[in-house]
Amino acid sequence: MEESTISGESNENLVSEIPPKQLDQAASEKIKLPLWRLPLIRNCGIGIVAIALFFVISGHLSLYRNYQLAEVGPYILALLGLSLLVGQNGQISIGHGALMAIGAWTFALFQLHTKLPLAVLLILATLVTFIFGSLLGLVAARLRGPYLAGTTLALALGLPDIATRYRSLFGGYQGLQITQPSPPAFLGATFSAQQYLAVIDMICIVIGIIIFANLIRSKTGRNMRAVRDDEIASRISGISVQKTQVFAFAVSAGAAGLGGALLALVSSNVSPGAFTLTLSISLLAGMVIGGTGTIAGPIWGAFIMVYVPQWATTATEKLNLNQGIAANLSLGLYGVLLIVIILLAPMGIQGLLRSGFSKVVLRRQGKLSK
Amino acid sequence: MMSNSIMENSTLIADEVTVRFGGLVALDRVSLNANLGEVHGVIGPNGAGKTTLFNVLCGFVKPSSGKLTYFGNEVKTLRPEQLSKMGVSRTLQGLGLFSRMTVLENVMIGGTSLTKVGPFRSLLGAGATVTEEARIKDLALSVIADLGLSPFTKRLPPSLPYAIQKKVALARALVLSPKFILLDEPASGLSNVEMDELGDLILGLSKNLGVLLVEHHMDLVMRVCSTITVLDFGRVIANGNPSEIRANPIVTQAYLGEDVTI
Ligand SMILES: Nc1ncnc2c1ncn2[C@@H]1O[C@H](COP(=O)(O)OP(=O)(O)OP(=O)(O)O)[C@@H](O)[C@H]1O
Ligand SMILES: [Mg+2]
Repeated sequence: MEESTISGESNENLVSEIPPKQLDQAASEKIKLPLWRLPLIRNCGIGIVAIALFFVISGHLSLYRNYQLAEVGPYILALLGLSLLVGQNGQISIGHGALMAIGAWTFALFQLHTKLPLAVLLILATLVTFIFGSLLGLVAARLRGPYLAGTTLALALGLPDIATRYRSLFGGYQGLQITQPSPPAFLGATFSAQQYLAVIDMICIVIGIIIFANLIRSKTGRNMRAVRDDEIASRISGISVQKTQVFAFAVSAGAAGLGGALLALVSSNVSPGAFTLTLSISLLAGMVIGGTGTIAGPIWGAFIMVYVPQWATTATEKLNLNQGIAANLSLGLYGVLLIVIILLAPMGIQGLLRSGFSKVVLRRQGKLSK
Repeated sequence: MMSNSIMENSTLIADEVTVRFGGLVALDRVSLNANLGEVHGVIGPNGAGKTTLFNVLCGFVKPSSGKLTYFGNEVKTLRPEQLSKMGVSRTLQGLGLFSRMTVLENVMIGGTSLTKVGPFRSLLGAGATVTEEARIKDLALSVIADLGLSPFTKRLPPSLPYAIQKKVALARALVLSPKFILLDEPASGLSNVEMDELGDLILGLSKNLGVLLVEHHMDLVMRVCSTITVLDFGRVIANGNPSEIRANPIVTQAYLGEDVTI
């Protein structure tokens, strides 16, 4: 279909003179956008509607369902961050579990030692991890491929040890307790703590998704992708590879830190056992399964991360096997499921949905033979 | 020493640039003077140091000694990412395209330095991000149209014929309306027809900007260049207009054994 245009094109293509492109600065400043087209306003609108909808829906769900939803939220945020870093910027991190830990402990420590409101605690957790991420990003920008993987792996392995080494500050193996907030009075007496957690999650997720979407649609996101594809070509096009990589790492870390803080909040506790290497690795698996670099991928990935192990455990429990076998079997089942998903959908679930959708559209337009 | 009047007309002056890679002298006191409105060719056998010279001019390689002057200002420390801000673009030997980005995005990247929207404003989705994006997109689309690439706007480069990809790389370098452009072997891999077309294109370009051209295809070089500098083993062995270069026995000597007719 495209072939005819290619051969037909070369004839009419004797461009002998290309007028220099004038940068009409004044004209571009005159472009007045309608208010709803300003991303800030439009996104806030969409975000508020989404949160309100969720608010209503969550009111009809059981306490247990709300808690289950609240459990997924932290991973969605961490996966958004990881997906931005890997999918858009082409860097790798096996240490995002450790970044979640930094957010979690920041949240816990500030809650323990100050009387700051919840929103501020969450922002602080995000900021501290953002700053840590930019320092890590400076290191990362000098490392490539396996070296970067190794460094972040070391972080994932080493960081939880700090909690056990400095027990008086970080709480040792038991970790620190988190006080779950009770829902504010104006929401009514029937508003459950679980629903409140789910709504807090939802607000953070909406903000996270808006930021992710803003980034990938902007110059900054495009520069990230350029650096991912070719560093030399990026540099001659005026992109600072280092700045781009550091920023991607910092934002990615910030998202993971917020996820970690939410995880601490939902599980009302921070302890080293929750932030092992396993977490970092299952984040990578969740990212790939969901669809790396996409906006919706992290949502699918997080649900899989939380529920598939649970289903696998329930399934093996039903078989009445001895404990050791059951535990391994559920792990094996999880692994098999991952492999099946990756085989069926190499671009992740989001990729599968997208290609399915475009097939439907093409068929509608009669462009695809049956 | 160069006189002041030459300095003012010159887009780019390389003065006695020397580059050593360990014991290897890749460039030995190379001087070059490229002007606005002309195509300046750099030729020489394989390994003569042409790409290394480009890399010095772009800041990828730091010369051990020598001076660079762009538009009358001496550039002491040059980093490749500053080039586009000075109005200089470059194409890479080969393609150097972003393979997982559409043709439009590839070309838009060339306009990166035209907007000052920082990463934090992008993150918040400030209004400026939309207007600036629209501006860069319009610029990119018009360069794409000029080069006849409009049918391929949404395609990924690897799915396109080589000649089209070469044009995309050129389009990316042209978005910022450079004052000076460095082309490293733009004709490699092109058919004769495509090469003629490229020649027309380069001649058209040179009306508005300075072009420095590294190329192995002598027909093209002789056709479009007004001045040619010949490198051999890192040294300038000749400098002059095409007929002078063609008549120069030293140049023919340097190319002995190479499959090139000058
Ligand atoms: N980074 C480097 N480190 C060491 N040696 C190098 C480096 N880059 C180039 N060289 C050497 O410098 C010399 C000049 O190489 P250069 O790539 O500039 O040649 P060229 O004229 O572009 O050749 P070609 O026509 O093959 O592209 C060669 O001997 C090459 O091996
Ligand atoms: Mg070369």
